[in-house]
Amino acid sequence: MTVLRGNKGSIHEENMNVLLDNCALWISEINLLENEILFLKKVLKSHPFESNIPNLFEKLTLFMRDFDMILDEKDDLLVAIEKHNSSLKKAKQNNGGDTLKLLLTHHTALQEQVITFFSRFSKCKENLYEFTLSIIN
Amino acid sequence: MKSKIIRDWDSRVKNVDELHQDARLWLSEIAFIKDEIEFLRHLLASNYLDLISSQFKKEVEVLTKDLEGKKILGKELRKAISGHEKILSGLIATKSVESNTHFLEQHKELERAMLKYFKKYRKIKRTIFRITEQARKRKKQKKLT
Repeated sequence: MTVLRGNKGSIHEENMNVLLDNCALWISEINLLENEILFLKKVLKSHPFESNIPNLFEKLTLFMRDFDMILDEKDDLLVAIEKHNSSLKKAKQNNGGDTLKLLLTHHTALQEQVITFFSRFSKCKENLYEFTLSIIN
Repeated sequence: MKSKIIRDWDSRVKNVDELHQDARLWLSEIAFIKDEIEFLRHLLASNYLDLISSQFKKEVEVLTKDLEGKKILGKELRKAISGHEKILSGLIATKSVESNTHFLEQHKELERAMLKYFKKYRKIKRTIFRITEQARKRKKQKKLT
């Protein structure tokens, strides 16, 4: 097994593969999120709620706005992940070198960013489900 | 989903806090999926997505059944995780978590079950998004002809 040496001790190639797997997973999750938002927006546009619900238009507008904001943010996040992914691949080819510590730090920061982003998306969906289920029940 | 997004690059034994955190996260995700399933089932049962009247009626039936299955499985997993948490509390009291390999193995087993659950659930969602899009395209095409 090739050992990539960095400032943060020995990092095995299989660990580097885990970082690359992380990036692939994030990209795939973000692609799914995009499809999900398009689906939810279509649902909202199909007027699935009774028109006598108080402030319905405002509520629907807010849901749409939240989803649009997430879609916008998604683009920047994807660019950052893809850039990081290329750096990881390069570091793997060059056996890491001094960039490893920096890459790990960046990976951790990016992971936090991804988690925050998905938490916000979940919160938006939670609000929509809460609203919908309160009407159904 | 958080537990899918977070993956350690160190293959190491998790500490007590992390084991607790895993269980809490799994429980919160199962609760979230339960609400999402209700929402999706409501949509599939209604005609908002133009699916019922379309040729996707059979697929909608299968998807509704699959969602019901995932709801039941979620309930079972929730029960298993709660039991696992109780055992963890007992082990913490006797300070024997790290030495209990059976418990740690059980934790990994639950982790695998959760990942499998998420994977299958996402597959159902992907199918819903796909057929909704297909139904939309067909409707548009029909209008044009």
